[in-house]
Amino acid sequence: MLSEGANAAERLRWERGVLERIRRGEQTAFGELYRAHAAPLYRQVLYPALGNRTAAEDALAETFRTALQRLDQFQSNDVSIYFWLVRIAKNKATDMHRTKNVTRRALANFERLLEPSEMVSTNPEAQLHEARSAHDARHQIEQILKQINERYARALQLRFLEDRSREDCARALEVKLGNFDVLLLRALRAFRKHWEERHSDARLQGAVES
Amino acid sequence: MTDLDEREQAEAAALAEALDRDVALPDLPADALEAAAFLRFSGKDAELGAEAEQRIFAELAPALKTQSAPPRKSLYWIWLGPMFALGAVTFLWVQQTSRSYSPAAGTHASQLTAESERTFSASPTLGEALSKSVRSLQEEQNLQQTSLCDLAERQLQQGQPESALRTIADGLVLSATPSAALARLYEIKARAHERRGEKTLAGDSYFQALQINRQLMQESLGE
Repeated sequence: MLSEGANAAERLRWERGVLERIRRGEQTAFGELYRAHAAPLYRQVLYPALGNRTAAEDALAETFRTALQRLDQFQSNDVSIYFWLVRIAKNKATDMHRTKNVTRRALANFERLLEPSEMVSTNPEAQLHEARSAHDARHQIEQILKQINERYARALQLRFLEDRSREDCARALEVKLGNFDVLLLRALRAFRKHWEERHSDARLQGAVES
Repeated sequence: MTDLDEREQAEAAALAEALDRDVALPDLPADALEAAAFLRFSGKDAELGAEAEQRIFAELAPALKTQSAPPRKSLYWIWLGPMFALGAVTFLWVQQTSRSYSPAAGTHASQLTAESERTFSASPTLGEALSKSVRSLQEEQNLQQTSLCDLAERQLQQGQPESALRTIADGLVLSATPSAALARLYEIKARAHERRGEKTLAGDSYFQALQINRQLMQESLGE
């Protein structure tokens, strides 16, 4: 099993061994590959591309099923298989968006909102370890919540950060359920506006400095 | 709440529906949904939970079986027997342990030893005991999978394909051993995907069900 602190070279060596074992028909080897890459694929690619937990999990299963079928086509060229899996995963997510009018699934690609806290390395092996950090995003979110209307901030806090039901949130804010839904819609739009302004300013400043 | 117009109310209702049931209604506001998904990303949704990781891998197991060539068969036979016996002995021991354990009871270790001795001496042969317990485990898993099939079937009939899929996922985690119950789980999964208009996923699941049934048929014909 790959150790957590493994460097890029160790990781590649480990992957080569695992791929060799998969090609020899060892089922447990595929499990090792899955355990090493499933969680980062979900967190860094599929959830941001689909914005929906169930859809992201389905896409993850489909990604590995396709990878298993096409493993013979994979050529390492000294790059982790993770990036090949990323390509498959992105195609799966695109397929899901393409068919969302038929499936009626509520999908939302929010990769654009993640840009400011996105990976910065150009080296693909280094990128592997630079998860789009949910914790970084959370810190920035908390900053924005301090800037928007207090009631909006409270609604977002209860519903998304504390993961409470609509009914609970409506009770806590002492409004009817229908009014809470509207309050939440307005809060989300206010949050998004502030978030985009904050990061377009940061991008502009970065461009000027460079 | 001020300035409530119909459009905003419709959008708010569609958003609530999307957040609670993953359903996209025509008025769903994409901008707000993206912001909501982003906020959820900063919470627990960002991580693939251990349960989900395991469930998804269990779904892949049948594909893995059909994909892998059975290499070095003779080596498998050498290791399979002892490994199986070791696993079964461990299982028996764990079963006995969980049955006999009581926090209020006296010395746990001596109680366990006595229980194990009683179990083995009461059994006619170790082989019989092992095969009986493995059989009963499989029967229990089959029974659980069958119950989950029935539940998923009902959820599907009530127009809840999402709940049915979750129930099926629970069933798939239990065992990947080919059985009529496993084939039925895949068949219901296919119908749930079909209900959601997911033709590729439905096709995959029908294919899995077909393969399992084919395997079972071949086994029953002694091929």
